[in-house]
Amino acid sequence: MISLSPVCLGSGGRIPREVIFQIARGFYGRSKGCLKLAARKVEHALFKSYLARHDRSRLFRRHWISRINSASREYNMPYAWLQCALQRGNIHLDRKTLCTLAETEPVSFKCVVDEAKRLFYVPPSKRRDTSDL
Amino acid sequence: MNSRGGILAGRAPLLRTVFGGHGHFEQRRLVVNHPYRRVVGHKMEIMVGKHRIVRGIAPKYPLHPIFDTDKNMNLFLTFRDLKLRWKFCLHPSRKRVNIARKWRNPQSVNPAPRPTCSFILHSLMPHRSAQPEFPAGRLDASNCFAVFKSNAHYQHKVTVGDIVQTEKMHRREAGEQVTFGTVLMVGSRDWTIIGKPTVPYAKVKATIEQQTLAGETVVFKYLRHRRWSHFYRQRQWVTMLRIDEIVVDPLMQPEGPPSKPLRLLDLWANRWLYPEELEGVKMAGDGVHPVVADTYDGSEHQPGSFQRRGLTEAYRFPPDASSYWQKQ
Repeated sequence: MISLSPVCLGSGGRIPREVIFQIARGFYGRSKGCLKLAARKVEHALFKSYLARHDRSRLFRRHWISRINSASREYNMPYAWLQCALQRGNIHLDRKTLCTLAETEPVSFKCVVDEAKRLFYVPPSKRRDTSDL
Repeated sequence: MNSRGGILAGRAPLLRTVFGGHGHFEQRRLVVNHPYRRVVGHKMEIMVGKHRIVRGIAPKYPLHPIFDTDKNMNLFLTFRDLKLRWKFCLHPSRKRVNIARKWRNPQSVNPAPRPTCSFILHSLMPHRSAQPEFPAGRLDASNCFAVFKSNAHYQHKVTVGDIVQTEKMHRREAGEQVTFGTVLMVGSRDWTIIGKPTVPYAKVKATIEQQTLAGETVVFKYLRHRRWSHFYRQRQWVTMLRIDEIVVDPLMQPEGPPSKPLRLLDLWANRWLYPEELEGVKMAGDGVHPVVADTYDGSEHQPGSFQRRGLTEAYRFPPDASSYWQKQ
């Protein structure tokens, strides 16, 4: 089995033994002390952590959206309406910032929501139709 | 009760009592929650027989014999011949249709609304119709927060004295002071300025605390069935900024063209010259400006190159109207 394992490949793709045992500390059973078993577990763990690092931004975005949504719904403004109005009003605050505002600066966040309400209920001027260009 | 009752609670009643046709009062729902619908196209187009390769679309009925000049009508004697003549017209490919989805072109977002910003006094909230006038002089921004952009993609909400981590800034060293001109929002206890998209007369001044490598990340990728793997340790260059000052001054003059830099030859050569190379430069009588200053006005070779080298007065990033990305 270990002949197939990346730990035994060339130096470029190999996980150093010290790193393996460092990461495998606290694993179950012989997986923390035996190189053959630990290597398999550590490969899996590191690869999962690689995927999780890429998922982190998506998770955060979802988290921010849910926080903004619950904060703006207190003022009867769903998240989608808020975003629509902010786009119309050319306000480029991103989700992270809006979430931070909702948590730490409630009055300024209320200002943004009021501004968004004003923009949302006003019908936008006619947009240029580019379908025939 | 529907799930959106919370939103609509203050606006409209969900039920209305009406006088029904049967001589008694009944309650009717005013708000109808339609089920979630997925839009698969803005327009459906029905195309006949396009799903199969045919030699053109057959006519609906055969040509009249007097127009059908390329066939000898005298050969059509039996019922079978007549059926043959109708065969193509009633071919099943005529009856089959293909439904094509057509999507409308996306809405044009240009021209964008003109850049402005709105000043909101918290005592006058919500400001529906009458907006307060902008204050005339420099605002006291000692207890303010500001939302600024430190690069094209990253916004920070800061107050004075904060330390924030940004991407590595090019050709900057610890201890230098930098100015960020793209401020999206400024707020204090009494007022808020929302930039649409930026606050034109606000700036954030920061000192570079350190430019370092961040902590190590162990990266391991593998493809089991290829027997391929890759292991490395990744460290990211970062810059730590300490926020010194938030300036909100409506009287601030807009930035003119960038001043002529002292190291004109660097820009002329499009690289940073070595001290040995600069020793041989002919200087004018004052000993500070090189002779080249008469020839070369120090203009940008390509837009944004001064900002990349840190020669501009402030860093500006989109959606700022003054950033070089926005200039057409």
